[in-house]
Amino acid sequence: MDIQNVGFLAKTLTLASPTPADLMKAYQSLSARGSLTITCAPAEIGPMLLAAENAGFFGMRVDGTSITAHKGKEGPCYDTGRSARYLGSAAAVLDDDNHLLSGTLRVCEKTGRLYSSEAYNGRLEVSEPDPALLARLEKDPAPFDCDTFQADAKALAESLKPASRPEGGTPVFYPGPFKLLILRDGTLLRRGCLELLSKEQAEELARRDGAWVNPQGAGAARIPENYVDLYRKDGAACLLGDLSLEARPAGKDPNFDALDEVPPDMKRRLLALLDRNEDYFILTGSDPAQKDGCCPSNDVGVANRLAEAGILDAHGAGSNSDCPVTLYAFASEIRAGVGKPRFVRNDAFRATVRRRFESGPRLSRKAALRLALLLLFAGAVLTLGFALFRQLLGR
Amino acid sequence: MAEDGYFDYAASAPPYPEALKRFEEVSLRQYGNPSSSHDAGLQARKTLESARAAFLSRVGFADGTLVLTSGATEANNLVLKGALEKGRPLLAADVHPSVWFARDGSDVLETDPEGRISPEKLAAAITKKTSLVSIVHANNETGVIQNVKALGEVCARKGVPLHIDGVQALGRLPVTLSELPFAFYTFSAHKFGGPRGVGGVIVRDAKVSAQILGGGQEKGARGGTENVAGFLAALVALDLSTRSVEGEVPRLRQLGSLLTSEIRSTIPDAIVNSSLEGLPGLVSLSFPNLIGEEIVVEMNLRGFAISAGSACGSGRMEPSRPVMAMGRTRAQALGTVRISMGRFTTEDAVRRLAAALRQVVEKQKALA
Repeated sequence: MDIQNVGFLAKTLTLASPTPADLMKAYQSLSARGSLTITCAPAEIGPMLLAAENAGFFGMRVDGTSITAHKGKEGPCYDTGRSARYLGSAAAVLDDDNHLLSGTLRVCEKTGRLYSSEAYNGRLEVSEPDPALLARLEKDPAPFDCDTFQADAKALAESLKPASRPEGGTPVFYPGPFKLLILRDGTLLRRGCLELLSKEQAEELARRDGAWVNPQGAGAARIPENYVDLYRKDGAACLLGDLSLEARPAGKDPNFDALDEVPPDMKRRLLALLDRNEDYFILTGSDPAQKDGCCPSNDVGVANRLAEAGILDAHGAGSNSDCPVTLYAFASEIRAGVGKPRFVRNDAFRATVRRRFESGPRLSRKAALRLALLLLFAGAVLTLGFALFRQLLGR
Repeated sequence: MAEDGYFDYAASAPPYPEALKRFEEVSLRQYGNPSSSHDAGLQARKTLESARAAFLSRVGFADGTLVLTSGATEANNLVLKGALEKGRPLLAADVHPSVWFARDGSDVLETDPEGRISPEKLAAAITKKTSLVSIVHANNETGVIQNVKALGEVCARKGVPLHIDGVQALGRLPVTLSELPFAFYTFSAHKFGGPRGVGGVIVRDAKVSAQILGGGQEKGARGGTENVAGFLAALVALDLSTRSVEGEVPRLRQLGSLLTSEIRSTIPDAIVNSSLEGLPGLVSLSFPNLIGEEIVVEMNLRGFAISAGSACGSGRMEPSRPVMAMGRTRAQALGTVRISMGRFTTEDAVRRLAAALRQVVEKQKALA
């Protein structure tokens, strides 16, 4: 960790390819308004942004293969009469503190300061605080109700005009500082993701929002989702989860050998998941291995062993039932944030699972080693026996 | 979740803004304790008592007594605990858990395959030890509406007090309590658009045995400072909901009919537990060999709020009791879901819900 110290807490930090735990630690090590620079490989940008969001940073911007992130969104909201105006081409933007800016938004002093920082330079116009309200901050601060998210999200959904998407499109990468841009036709453009947009949208975003058009070596672009569709399904909560459209790397190396031992019912279930191209399946009950678990279920036990083997991901379904209700998807496919879980299919992983089922059980490394040792032992016994036999004959 | 994706009105209805406004007004202006003897207290008492009279008048029973509680669970407990002290209550098999808790000291009255209780069977089931008959006006899970008048007449003839759990009926069906021969009628305000935490029992020629003691409020029937603001808000909600009943009943029946026919045509093995003559807009469906709770989770992920009838008990999933009482098997009843509609439900939303439910059931069958 490269720390440039200012007092006990660092003002700036630089980390190379940090883990999510490193980012959490870095967040705690930084001063109240400190900033962090992350360097990483291009393929790591998506996961790094996500980890930085989860750690609590705001205003992340990608610049080449580095990301700058800032601290400072904690604290109470007081009114100093400030407002902020978004200057770009989108219909609205979502920041890392879940403010939804569509045009001009009244903001508290804390957010006003954040918006005036380097992170949002050129993207926002922020009004100066009212001197009288500012003077009250020390002794008698005026509370500010910044809880307008639900209403703002609803008004935005009603104001957008979704249009039919043309075939193909231009790959666009949005480097930040906002978490998300919502375009006038509802198209979602997420920071750190490569999306296919119309040529006109791409040019406008490049000119007014600093988006990168046709970036080199950025991987395959995806067709973006539409906010109006998501809002209709999930309401404002659709903006609160992990909106990443890129598959995250699996948390551990999957042990595909575990698939050789699954009972027929689970195999049928997993194959149905693949055949139907479904995102997940649901099981009710607890793992029989769990002592005093409610409604023990063998299926849950099998699914949990597959999760331990890195084949499945498990996610509590948020049911109010006393019995646990769990969603299972293939490893790395569940995106769980504040809102409802979302799913991103990992086609390569799914193809491996299918191949494994189609080719039948293979000898596991452990079993192969045992067999090799057995053969070696049998060979040694035979050789010894043969030698003894010859010796006896020789007599 | 979009507003019209809410299909769980039987669990809790969205409150009327007018009711909440009244709650705020009364909370801010009439904060005196109605048991206090100063002006603020006397004013609160006056407001409370005139609201009580207006409530009873609105339900067509101006001569009754109304004991306020924190909701229907407490109201049902209040009635049943008193009955347990006096003898053996006779419970309909489809009663709410807030009544079923008394099962151990009670007798049970089975329903027929349509979920109804026949007056003849009731008459035969009443014994000398029967201290109370407890039935549900409109069942919260199946929507079955009992012929409460006929059942009440049997009880009156036998001299046994009748408790009607009116939680799903009040404010959602035309109800004139003066015409019903009951002893206790319980209700909950949040089912008809009032605030949560407000309910009560309307009493005719009977007494409740106080379970919350101290304070002597509600003429000794229930200790604790009365929720004046909550009750006034409930009165506003009752007023608005009963005024809308005439228009809402046929509209919700039509939506229920639409949903039922959509499900019957797309999921042929679905069992429809509710009937078109039942609680308007409540549709109970059983999908054999599936789990209701899993369907609820799947539907929630698609933006629809519905309920399951099953619950966890004694370490395993227990199917819906009212649905089992209709003669369904365990495998059928475990796959039961309840869809309940109300004032914000639209035809478009019903069609979308039906399509989503078909997808979910198909998926669940394939992945079961």
